[in-house]
Amino acid sequence: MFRMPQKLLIFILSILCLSIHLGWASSLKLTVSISKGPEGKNLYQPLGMFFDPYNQRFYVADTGNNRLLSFSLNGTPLKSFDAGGQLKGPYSLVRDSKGKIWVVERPFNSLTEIDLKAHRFERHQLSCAGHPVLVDRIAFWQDYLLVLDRASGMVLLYDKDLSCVKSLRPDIEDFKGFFDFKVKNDRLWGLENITGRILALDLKSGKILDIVRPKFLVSLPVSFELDEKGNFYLLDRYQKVVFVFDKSGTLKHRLFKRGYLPGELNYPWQLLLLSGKLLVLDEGNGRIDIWGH
Amino acid sequence: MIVAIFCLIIYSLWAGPVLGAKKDCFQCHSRRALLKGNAHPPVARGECLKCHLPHVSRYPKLLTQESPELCFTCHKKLSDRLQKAPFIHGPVAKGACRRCHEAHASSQKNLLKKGPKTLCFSCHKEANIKYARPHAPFAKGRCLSCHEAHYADNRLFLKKKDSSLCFSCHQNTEALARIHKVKNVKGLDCLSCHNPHGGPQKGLLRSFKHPPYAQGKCQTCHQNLKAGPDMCFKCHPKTRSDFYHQHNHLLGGYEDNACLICHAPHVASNKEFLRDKPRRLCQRCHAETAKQRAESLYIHPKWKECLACHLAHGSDSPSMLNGDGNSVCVRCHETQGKFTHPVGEKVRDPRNGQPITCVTCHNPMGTNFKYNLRLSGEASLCLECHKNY
Repeated sequence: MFRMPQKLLIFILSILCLSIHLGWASSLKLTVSISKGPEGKNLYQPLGMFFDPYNQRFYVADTGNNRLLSFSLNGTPLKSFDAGGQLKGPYSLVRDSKGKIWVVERPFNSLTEIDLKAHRFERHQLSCAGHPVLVDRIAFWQDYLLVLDRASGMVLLYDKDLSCVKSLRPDIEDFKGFFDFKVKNDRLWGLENITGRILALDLKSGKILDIVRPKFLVSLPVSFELDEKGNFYLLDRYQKVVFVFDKSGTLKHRLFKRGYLPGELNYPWQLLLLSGKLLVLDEGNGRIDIWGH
Repeated sequence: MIVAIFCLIIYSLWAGPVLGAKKDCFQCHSRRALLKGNAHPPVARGECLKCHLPHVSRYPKLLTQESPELCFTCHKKLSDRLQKAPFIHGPVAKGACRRCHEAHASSQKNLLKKGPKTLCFSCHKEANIKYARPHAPFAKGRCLSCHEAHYADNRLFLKKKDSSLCFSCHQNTEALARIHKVKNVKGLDCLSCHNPHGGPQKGLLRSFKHPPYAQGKCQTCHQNLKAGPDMCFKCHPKTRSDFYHQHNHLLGGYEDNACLICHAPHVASNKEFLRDKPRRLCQRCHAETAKQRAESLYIHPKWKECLACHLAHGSDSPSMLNGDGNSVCVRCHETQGKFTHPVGEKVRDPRNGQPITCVTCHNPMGTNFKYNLRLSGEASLCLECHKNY
């Protein structure tokens, strides 16, 4: 019977272990590149992306075209919606469990409530502790709407009556404000302005649970994601790459390159990680690239 | 025999530089001219062959190596420190040691080509200003009293950070604290209000005064400090809506009041109350733009005037351009706006379906191709879209 030399066996096993360890991110392939809505019109400067787990669709704020788009997870365009021409510069969006859509309209600095069933379109101006809020990215956690306030750099919790019930700011002296945030397992993960530092806060207590600092040079970090294995994905708008690093901040991969073709990045803005797929929203190329296996 | 070998070694050690330099070199090259003033130690010792080859060399002046490698063979400490330095003076980064230093001798200290003031102003022309009340080191041309010449840990190449540089000469007295209405002035950012080179009045205060400060109405702002940017928007209400754009500069939390990242609250050297000239101020966060500039052969002539093309508060265009990728350029490049490769809404880039604009093909921040083209205009740029040609 054939006997494999011991050294060769160790070598093959090492390579196998290494590839499993590093595998997912390095073997990503472009599966779909979405550049048009259902009626064939090109996206223009899209800036917001949201995945709805209830209907397994993802929604895009096609900012430059003043409309919202929905897609199936395989990238098929489904619907286009502009609220009868009322919607202006949608920037960020979420859909709640009742099917209401909440959109940030930056030109009005409004959180706009859209109830399709009730044919309701209402703009809300938010404030917290007496201060007007510059509404940025939004998300849902339990019954709360989480709003990133660009004026304070804090994430604010609003109840269903849109009353500000809490503000989340890490209790550290050198905190420089959040630029992006994600909610995962009752934790708020926030990307700090400029530095690329990622902080995890307990959504209930507001206590800091984790701080991850990249051990490499970042230029303009604008969005991030994290996977189940504890890897972080940091989108650098200036360098036009996604850095993949572990909890210690050690760089494992640099994904993608600058350019105009599908799979390349021009002015990337947002990342979304969904069941084994990495979605990259690129404002400059007017495109959402979906990477998977 | 041993004595003979010993003598031979001593002779060869002596004869190399001495015969090679003192006798051979100085037969043609004037010794007096080379040793005028403060001499470079190898020159003073007649060790010409430390830097030059006697017969042939692939480098000018028969040098053994090019600058800065040649200089770093002795100045190793400097070489090591430059590896770790966050900010390196332009000529040093380019290895142009001889832009500031003489190789053989100089009447100045540190073999400088000219006195520090003349030498520094030969590049930093914008700093050569005559002030009614100049700061003493500036008036005396002692640039190196405050600035490092080779590298530093700060963008202004200051020898020390914050107020500690100022307090190396100025005394931190109770009277000083009283004037500044604080317990200890050491925590203050002196340069925020004082121009370290000079000014029109005593105290070297910067010229433009924020009205509440000029009127002594400190509480107008100081009683509302916790309000952050809202405090500023109370008096500057129109500015609030400047940030209602897809991309904006309101980096809340970066400082207690995000406006103060760029603006000085009391006095400034410009009417916009910017803390520094845009080219330096912007680079505090956008350091990569300077890197791109340094690595590029072709740069837009207004590269240093960031606000000529970018909006400081907010814009709906990527890069916070002051208009879309066409209108921002056409304001100056009028001819190209009328006669050019087709651009605009109806002309689509086949690579991504987006409207073609000036910045589709040009990158004013710096490239290695003529006219700031993103690729060579000979062929490769055009072939990106026109595949059949």
